[in-house]
Amino acid sequence: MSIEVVYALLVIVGLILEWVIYSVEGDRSGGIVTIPLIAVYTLLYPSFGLLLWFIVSVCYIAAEIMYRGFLLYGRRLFLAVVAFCIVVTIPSMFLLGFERFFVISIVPGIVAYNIHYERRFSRTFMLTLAKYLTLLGLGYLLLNL
Amino acid sequence: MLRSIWMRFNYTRLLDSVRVRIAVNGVRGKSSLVVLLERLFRSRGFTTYGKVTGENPFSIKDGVFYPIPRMEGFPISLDENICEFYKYFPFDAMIVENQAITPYTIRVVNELLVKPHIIVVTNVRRDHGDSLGWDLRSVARSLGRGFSRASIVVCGEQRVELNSILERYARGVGALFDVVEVPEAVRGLPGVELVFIASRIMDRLGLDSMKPYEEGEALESILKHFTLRESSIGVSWFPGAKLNDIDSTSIVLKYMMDRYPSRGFMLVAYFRSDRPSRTISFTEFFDNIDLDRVGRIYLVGFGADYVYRRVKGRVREVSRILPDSTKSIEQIIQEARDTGYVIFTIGNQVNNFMRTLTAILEPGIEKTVTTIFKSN
Repeated sequence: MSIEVVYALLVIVGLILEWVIYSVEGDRSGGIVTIPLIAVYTLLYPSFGLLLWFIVSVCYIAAEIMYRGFLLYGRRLFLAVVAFCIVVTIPSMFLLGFERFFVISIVPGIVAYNIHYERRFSRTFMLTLAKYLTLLGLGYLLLNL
Repeated sequence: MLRSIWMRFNYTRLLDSVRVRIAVNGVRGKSSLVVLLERLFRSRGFTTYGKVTGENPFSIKDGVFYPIPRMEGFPISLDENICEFYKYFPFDAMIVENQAITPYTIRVVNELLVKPHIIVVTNVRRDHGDSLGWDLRSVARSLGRGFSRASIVVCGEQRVELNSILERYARGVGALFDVVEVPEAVRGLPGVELVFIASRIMDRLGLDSMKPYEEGEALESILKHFTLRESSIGVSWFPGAKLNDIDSTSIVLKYMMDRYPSRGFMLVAYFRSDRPSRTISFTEFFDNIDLDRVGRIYLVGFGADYVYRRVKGRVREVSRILPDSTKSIEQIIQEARDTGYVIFTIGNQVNNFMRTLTAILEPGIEKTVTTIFKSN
């Protein structure tokens, strides 16, 4: 199965998972498009996937500092986190040789903001991780069909 | 720019120095509770600051009301809380109305801008359906998701199923959940729970309890709102449109019918194009009214025909759609004179039709403050 088809399927499954999580928990979990995207990149380049998660963590910490320390919230916080993410991600990609993937340099920032958006950090983070691992496993199976 | 950054950076430090911080959440009665609490804290020796939003936003510093200027056409920002805080700092007690209407921004006000020791939930009613949810349980969940870490959540809502939702969220932020008891006879009347909430807060903080005369005065100032108004043109009326949500409107209509058992009622509903959720919710309201006492229903405004198509049976029989015009107002008043029906307005108050009707029935009423409790 081609990677494009796998990505499309993961987006659909991710959408269903998001709907189930929202119905049961009332929370969002990382993003509808972004988590399948990270899962697909992880399938293709595992170390790049890990880098993205590391940047998500850094962006989340930055978001909380901007939120609590400088009272940034909502749209302004979102823009600030995405800008911070680009600043962190691009040099990291250069250093680690992933410069082809600039196109997703804002994705970790979006995921970090979505996690911040929910009240319960640990629960949201676990839900996001669970969704990611589910999609990763499914993607692995589909690619090896 | 630098000053703005410094103000934001320094805000939390100054906020932490305020001895008592209370965030007033909920759907109805927030402004009135802020005014009442500010007065109570002041009478117990605190220097106070209160902030009220809504139709007439104002800050209160030590009993003096200061209007908050709003620029027409500009969105209202939560940053307004920071600016007003700096204007009046320092003080010992801070009572702020949570003006936000989404779970996230409700949390921002609680967690960032007030950091309350006590979170108040005045009540759970249907309003802002597109952001808080369309049913009461969703509204309760949305309010709960906005809780921040606090010591106590004091709740005026009386429905057990809604309180169980709020309690779950209160426990999640490590707060004690404390529901006030409202006597059966006045339960559900808008604003009554506020007196008992204020009383409980005084007790919880170990301050002097509210004296019987304080409670009596506060209750009286609420109940006096639920009397018929006699206009100079010989029509009795009640401004139910100020109530906004269908739950409060139903309770007050029933209370007024019980209080004036010999009177028939005429409902005048106005619907606004920018409040479709409220219009939709009123179709449910019409299914549950006491038909024997309602002789006429007039539907006006955007969506009036939508509501008309959805009401059934006798409600449909007594309902009429009227155009949004002065002539319609004349027709309403003439019919009320001829039949002796009480005009009970519902739906939305802030529009030209209702303003004109209100101005004819009671000149000068538009100038009154929307809160129940006035400053001393």
